[in-house]
Formats: sequence, C-alpha cells, structure tokens
Amino acid sequence: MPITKNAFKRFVIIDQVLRDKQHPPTLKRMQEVCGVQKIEVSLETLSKDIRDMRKIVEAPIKFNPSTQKYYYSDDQFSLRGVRLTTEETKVLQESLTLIRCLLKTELGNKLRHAMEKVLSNSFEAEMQTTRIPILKTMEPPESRGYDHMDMLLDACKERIPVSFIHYSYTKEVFNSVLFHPCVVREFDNRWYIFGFSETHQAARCFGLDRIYAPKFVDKFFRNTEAASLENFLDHMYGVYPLPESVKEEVMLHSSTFVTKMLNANPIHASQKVTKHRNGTGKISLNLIPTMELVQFIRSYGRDLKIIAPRWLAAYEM
Amino acid sequence: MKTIPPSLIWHLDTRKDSLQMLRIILFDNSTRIDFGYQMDLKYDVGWWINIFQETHLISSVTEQKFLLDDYDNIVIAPEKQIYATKSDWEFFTLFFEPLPKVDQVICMIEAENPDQNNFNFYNIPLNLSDALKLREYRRPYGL
Repeated sequence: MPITKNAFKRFVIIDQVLRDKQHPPTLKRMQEVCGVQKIEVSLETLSKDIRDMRKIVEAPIKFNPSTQKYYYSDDQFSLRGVRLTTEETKVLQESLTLIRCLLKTELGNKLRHAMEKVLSNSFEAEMQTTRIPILKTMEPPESRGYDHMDMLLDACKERIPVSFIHYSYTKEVFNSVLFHPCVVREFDNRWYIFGFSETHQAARCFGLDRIYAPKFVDKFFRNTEAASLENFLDHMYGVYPLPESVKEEVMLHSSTFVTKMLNANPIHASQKVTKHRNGTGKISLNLIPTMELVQFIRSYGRDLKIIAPRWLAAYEM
Repeated sequence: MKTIPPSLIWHLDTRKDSLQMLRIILFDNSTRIDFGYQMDLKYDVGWWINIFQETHLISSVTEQKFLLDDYDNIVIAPEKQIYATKSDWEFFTLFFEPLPKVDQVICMIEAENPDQNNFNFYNIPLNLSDALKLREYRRPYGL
C-alpha cells in the first residue's frame, strides 16, 4: 500500500508526539500539533494513520486504554530509517512497476512490500493515485502452473528434490517425475524449471504449465552438471534443444528489413552480422539449436533463412 | 517420545486404457491417489468421465475397505465431466481413508462387478523399500 506525502507528514508528527516527554501522547495532542503545522485532520484519520503505521512501517505503537495515551513499546524504533534522494525514490518506484509485472509470486509480494516500506520513509514519495505508468511491460494472463512458482523457487534455493506429475503435450501422456531442480527460467513469457531428473537420469527442462501437484521429497539432492546448466542458461535461444544437437555455428541469410531488425535486437549474445552491399545480411550464431530458434527463424518466412548447418535447414518440426 | 512415521510417496504408471494411476501418497489422515486421463481416440467427441462414490481401496493386510473421502478435478456419478475434443486431458485426484504404512498390495475398486468403463485397478504393490518420503517444509522467513 503506497503512502501519500500528506500521510507521511502526519506519520512524522505522530512520531514526534509519541517521543515528546512534555505533553501527553494522545490523539488530541497529535491533532493540535498537526494544526500548528497547518494540517487539518480528524481524529478518525489520525487513528487510521496509527493503524497504517503499525501495518506498513511496523511501528510498535501501543495504546493504554486507562490513560488514553499511545506509546512505543520499543524505543529503538525509527520512523525515518534511510532517507532517499528524489532520484533514488524515482528509481525505486520504477523498479516497483517491474516487480509488479514480473514477480507475481509470494517472493515478489514480499519484495514489493519491502520496497514500498523503504519508499514510505522518504519525504519525496509522490501521490500515486492519478499517475499514468511511464514504464509498462507485457503482462500476459497468469498461466497454469504459475502457482507452483514459490514452491519451486524454494526447492531450488534450499536444494530439495520434488515429486510431480508431468503431462507431455506432444506425447499426450502423463509421467510421475522425481526431480532435483536448480533454476527457474523465463522465456517468451513462459516459465520453466531446469534440473536433474532422476526419472530420466538426465538434465531436463519442464514447463510449469505442464507440472501438476509438486511435493517436496526427503531425499539426497543431486546436482545438475555444471556444463548442462551452462548450456541451458547461456548457449541456447529458448529452452528445448533439438534432439542430439550440440553447440555449433548456425548461419542465416536475412532480408534488408530483418537485417536491420536483428542488428538492433540480437537473437543471442553470440550473434554476428555481416551486411552485404545490397543491405541483406549474413547472421552467424554460435549456440545449441532449439525448437524455439527454428520457430523464430520461420516466423520471418522468406526474410530469414537457415543456410547452415544443412540438417537444421531441412529440420521438420 | 513416539515418532510420527513420515508420509510416503510411490511413483507409478499403472494404466487402464487411457487412464493412468500415477502416484500414491500415504498421509497419516488420508490416502491420495493422482491420476491422469487422456481422451481416447477410440471414443467419439463428447465422451465423459466420472467416478462412483462407492469407489474404495482394499489392502492385502486387512479386510477393511478404505472408502472414498474426497476428490479433486473429477465429478461423482451421475454427474459427467464431458470432453470436447479428442486431445483433451485431465489430472485428477482421489482421497481415501488412510491406508496402513506397511508392505501391502492394494486394489482400487470402482465397481464390484465392473464393465469395461469402470476404473478398477488390481494388485498394485506398495513396498516400503520403494517409497519416497514426503518432506514437510515451511517457507523460511524472508524468501
């Protein structure tokens, strides 16, 4: 919950009143001090502010019903915390937008909450109610299996094997899998988990949308080979390598239009572009050919063709 | 102090036509069985599945019937879960009364006098030596 600049000013006054030894720390006193600072506020709003302080900045504010006084149960509590500059605040606010878009998980929620708390400690926090976003990412509807994200992230971090049911879209069969996950990866707005499959006795990648009912298993965790992990993370465009494929040079011929496009938006870190005098190009990639790479190339039709290797040019999906 | 035996998991691939029994988990208070159903090409579009409320488990170590307690992603007869295409699939789960955590052979009986459409599975061995142990896990603070 974002805090407005006005609310934060009242938080500071409430904090001052609670620390003031000269006057009784009551709601009425808080209202008086607000009035001195030309802030008109009702007792109800101040009461809500105290509730918000407890909730948002975890202020340890207690109430003594017999004296009608408020007090800090922990004197070490500091409302100010770290002060942010205007620029730092803006950077954090923009990052929050990204977090909202990308991390719709419990982890993401906690991170967002923590950042909002930091932002709430800054005087520079802006009114957010009428703001039009200046940063917008693609926000696809939540896909099936995304609800397993937190559990699978935990499994990777804590190195816990997982038992789950997998459905293969191509073979149209189910399989129970014992899996030792090591990394969750996003590609093209879809989420995958990579690790060692004890069931297949090999490194495997599974789409979260095809995973059902994951359960943690109490078993020795098996690491995924470093080379397999490196291939998965660094040497592929996509996540599903073609059968028997290894890292090799892939050569493409591109039209003028696609040459410009790929120059600006490389397919892979290994990409090199050689331009011909007529504007067409030769694109060189050094990677493991994947299903996604073939689909990407073919999505451009005649504008992008595989020259080499021959087996890939002739590959039938 | 009495230790609580862990929940046990068996991975299976026992098939009856287009139905796969995939996993059994023995909890202290229930038995969970996971199934996968792939619409069968031999059936016409508009085929359906359901499960009888009378479905139960029997075990080689006792004469007790372990009754169906709950279900997830499937309907109880006479309701029908209708499939629209020949490539439809479903993951569903049945929950029964808790089986004992001992070596045993179990059967799942949907109908005592089954026809070809009933989901009866026979002679499924559950050996403790083949079981995985379920790990209880609570999220660490801050992750």
